[in-house]
Amino acid sequence: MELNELLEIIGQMPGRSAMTLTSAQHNVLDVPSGPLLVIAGPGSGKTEVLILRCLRLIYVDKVNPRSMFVSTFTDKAARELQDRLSSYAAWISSQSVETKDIDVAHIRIGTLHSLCNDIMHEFRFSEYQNFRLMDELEQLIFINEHLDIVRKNLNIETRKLWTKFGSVVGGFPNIPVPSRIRSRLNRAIGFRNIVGRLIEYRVNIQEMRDAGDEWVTLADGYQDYVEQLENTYRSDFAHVQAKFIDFINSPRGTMFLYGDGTSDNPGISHILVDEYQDTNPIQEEIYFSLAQAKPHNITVVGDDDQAIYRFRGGTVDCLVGFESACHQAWGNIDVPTVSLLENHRSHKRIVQWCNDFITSYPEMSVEGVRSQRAGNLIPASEITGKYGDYPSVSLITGNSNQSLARHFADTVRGMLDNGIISDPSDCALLMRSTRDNNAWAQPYTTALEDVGISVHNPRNNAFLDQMEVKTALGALVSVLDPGSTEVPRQLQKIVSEWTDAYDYNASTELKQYVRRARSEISAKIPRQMFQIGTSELFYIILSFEPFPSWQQDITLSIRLAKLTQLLESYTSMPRPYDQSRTRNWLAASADGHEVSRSWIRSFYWGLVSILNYEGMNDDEDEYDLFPTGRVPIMTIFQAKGLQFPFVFVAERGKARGRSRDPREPSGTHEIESLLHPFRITPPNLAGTDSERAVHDVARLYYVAYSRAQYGLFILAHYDAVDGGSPHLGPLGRQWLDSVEIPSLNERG
Amino acid sequence: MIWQNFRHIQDATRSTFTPRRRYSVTSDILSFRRCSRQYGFESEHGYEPSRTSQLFYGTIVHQVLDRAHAHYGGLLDSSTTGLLPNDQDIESYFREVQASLRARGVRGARIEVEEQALRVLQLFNRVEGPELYPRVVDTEHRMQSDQDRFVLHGTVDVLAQSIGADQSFESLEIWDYKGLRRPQDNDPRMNDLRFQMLVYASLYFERHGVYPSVANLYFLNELMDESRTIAKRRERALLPVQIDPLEVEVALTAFHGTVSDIESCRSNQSWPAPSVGDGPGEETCTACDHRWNCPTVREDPYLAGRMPLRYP
Repeated sequence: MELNELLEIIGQMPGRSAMTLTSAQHNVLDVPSGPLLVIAGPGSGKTEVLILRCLRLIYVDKVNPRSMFVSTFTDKAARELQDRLSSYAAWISSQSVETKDIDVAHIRIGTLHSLCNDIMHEFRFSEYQNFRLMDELEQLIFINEHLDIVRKNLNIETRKLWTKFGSVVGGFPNIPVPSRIRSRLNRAIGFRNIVGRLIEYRVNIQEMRDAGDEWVTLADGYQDYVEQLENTYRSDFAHVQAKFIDFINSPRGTMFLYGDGTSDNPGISHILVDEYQDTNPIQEEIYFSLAQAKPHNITVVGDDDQAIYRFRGGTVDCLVGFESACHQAWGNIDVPTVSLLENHRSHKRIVQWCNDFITSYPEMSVEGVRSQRAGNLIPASEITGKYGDYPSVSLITGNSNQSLARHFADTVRGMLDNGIISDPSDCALLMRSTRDNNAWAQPYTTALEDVGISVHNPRNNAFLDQMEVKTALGALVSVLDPGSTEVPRQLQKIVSEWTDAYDYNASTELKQYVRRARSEISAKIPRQMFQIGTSELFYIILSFEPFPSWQQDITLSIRLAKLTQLLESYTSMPRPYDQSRTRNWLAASADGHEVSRSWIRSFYWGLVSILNYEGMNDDEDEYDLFPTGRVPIMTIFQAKGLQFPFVFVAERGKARGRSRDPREPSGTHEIESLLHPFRITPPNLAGTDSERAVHDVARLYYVAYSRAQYGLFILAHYDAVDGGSPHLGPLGRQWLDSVEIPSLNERG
Repeated sequence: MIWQNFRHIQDATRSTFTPRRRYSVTSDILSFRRCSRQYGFESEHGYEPSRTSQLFYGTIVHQVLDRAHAHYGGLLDSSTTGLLPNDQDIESYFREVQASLRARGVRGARIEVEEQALRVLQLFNRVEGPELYPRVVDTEHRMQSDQDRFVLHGTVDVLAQSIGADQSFESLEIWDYKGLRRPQDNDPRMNDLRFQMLVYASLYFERHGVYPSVANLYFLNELMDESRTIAKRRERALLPVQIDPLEVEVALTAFHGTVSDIESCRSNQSWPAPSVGDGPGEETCTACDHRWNCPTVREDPYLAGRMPLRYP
């Protein structure tokens, strides 16, 4: 089948508008083989082009779908690609009989982590069998409990180490580093931050060790961590990728990469990577390893202006330097670059605002910071054609968090009441953080509720404040530690909230059970094993009112379920120095009549203190991310890849306590610089720590603004407009006035 | 009011994408049919099952046999290609999997149960290995099928050549290992197991364009029945399910029916317990985390009597 024929068939697909590709989109399809860099601005039809390129490879170039490796940034994006490819394939096979045996379900599509995990299992990589993949919370529990580098009291060497990495240890930033590093948990948080980067940045551990002093301490700590992971059959997300590099270089990896000559296992010949701007060096190494066979068929798609994951190891330099990385790996090879700049999403004034915003930062104009693109975004949305020119970008100011929130809520209410939108979920409020406190989401939630509109804010970090969660944990603590005698001082407040909730909400039957359970425990002889473990005890507690009634509400039930997951994470973790017993088993103390004191102390220090520090979010339903009838309040990170008819963007409101200006460098930038000398492939770090911090803020708000289709509202405190709030950039009021952005002003 | 700038726009709506759900024959369809209440709690709300002993047996049986096949195929070490693993090899694979499961907090109900699993696997290896392993074409064979509204998927343990046949897809057999005794023919579980094999046959057809020659269920725990000769045990352990395209069609229709039932429960947010006497059976109920206030248990005097409230 020829490309034109394929496009013609697709263009006739029911429910799909005629196939009108821009010349840039055509260019992406025209490149037959070899490396290809696609710079895809927001709303430029990137996903569609990626799908069409996959279809071209399969139907025109006859590439076996099993030999295609397509990496996306999220599971949801992978599902969307799969589903859309399936729909196209079904249509194509109905129009072209000779394609009916092609099964696009065989394309390997997923996040890189999930693909690595699945492939290593599929190919029985012996060094990755039955590994338990820990999430960040579980990883922190593990580090806090198992690693001497954080467990042991500070000595000269570790003090030097933690002082050097003071910007990434836990604790409140306004407390001096020497005080913060005295806390074991703060050190554990610091180690978690460092260990991920060691892997993601491809740090040469031996070179780091050779640097002496605190670097030796860090290298030893890292070695210990790796050994403990191996011994306990655990892995973290970064190590899955490190294992995959080992896998690729193993005989099983060779079989995966080059196949066995059958159509069932043809090897990998084409690599397509989405969101390449958030790739890190180890991921880059994986992609380049997969594409090592000539003619190096690797297509990477991304937009450095939308790189927002530096804090998770993302290295925008991978995209900016893609061409030179190809040259370094494969010699003087041609690397075509296509820029998709036509924005089909947003009204033209929103596009103009995005262009002006990102280029208003002098730091973004320095050579090497942005990729070589053909120019700015070009407005091409049907919205402009249909509704013409109108002031689609607005500024709303207020003199307090509450007044700003009230104006926001009134605007949403007005749009609903006047048929501009039909559902609250057509609006989204985007912020750097959506914590449910006065500085962030709380005033907006209250204001919306005051005008009769509900919100959906799963990342409000308020999981532990929920009544059902507190009551269930209160009941558990009431059995295991009656009187809360072992609660550390700093946890007394939270634990007493739990037991108070239990006292207030528990049914008579639950209280009877708890009393009887306590009396059974008080009759135990020293070290006697209990008849039931922690998990079973917790499930029995949940069988008494009020829990069964609460479980009728899916939101409450899902939170209680999350507690069972959390307990499983904790109780399945091997005890340090004693992996023969699981922590799920309960036993009496050395004196009898009570639960083992060491178990209780571990429970408080190893689990509760971490929960108290980290906080938790509700889980998000991937099948119903934006429930109708509610305004989603989201972090800008959550909004990546999404679009909404109307978008409101707000910064941190006024609140007590100092907050770090996001334009100041953070631990993320400092650790990047500290580890830079030891990286196997030293990148071209674009700018100083301070400059990179500014790049990150510019890109973050560029992502936020470019989510809007019909209208964009910027919310700012009145005095912050003149003061240069981070989300207004260096433009300030003077510029805002000059471009005639309508304002809803409330002066101080 | 600033919204007035947008008065000319009417009904600006958000475009949504909802991914298609994926349904597995075993972990969705059969689980839901067994008990929709338990399925709702675990699969929909996310309650973490605490019954690791069931997980232990199933996992270790499948993983050790997978290693046994890989051993014979030389996939773990090319020097073992074509060699049957001996008892020590099986024990070594067993200990490896056991250690990793223990590190994850997954154990058998008792140490004797764990050791029995080892003996079963060694016996299987001795009595079935010589004939089966040379015929194995693929293990952990993954299959899926687009069903318009959802995606159906499943994994069969082994694809094996039929004795004396070639390696063409219509000559291959599906094998599925069960860490169970063989249920009586009138046991409702038997219907579920046949249903599972027929759906696998449908998935196989989707992937290869032909049906497998047969789908073999293998009940490993039959091998431990010392009241029977080894030959008799092997005979009882193997249950071939013949593939009739009409029956496959019926099974697929039933699959769609169960998916509709699941979706109906989901939209009503109601996962009812089975009626009394129609539950999943004592074995499932006694291992269920949600039994303590389950109407199916509470209103059945026999089951209720078997599950008194437990204390630490």
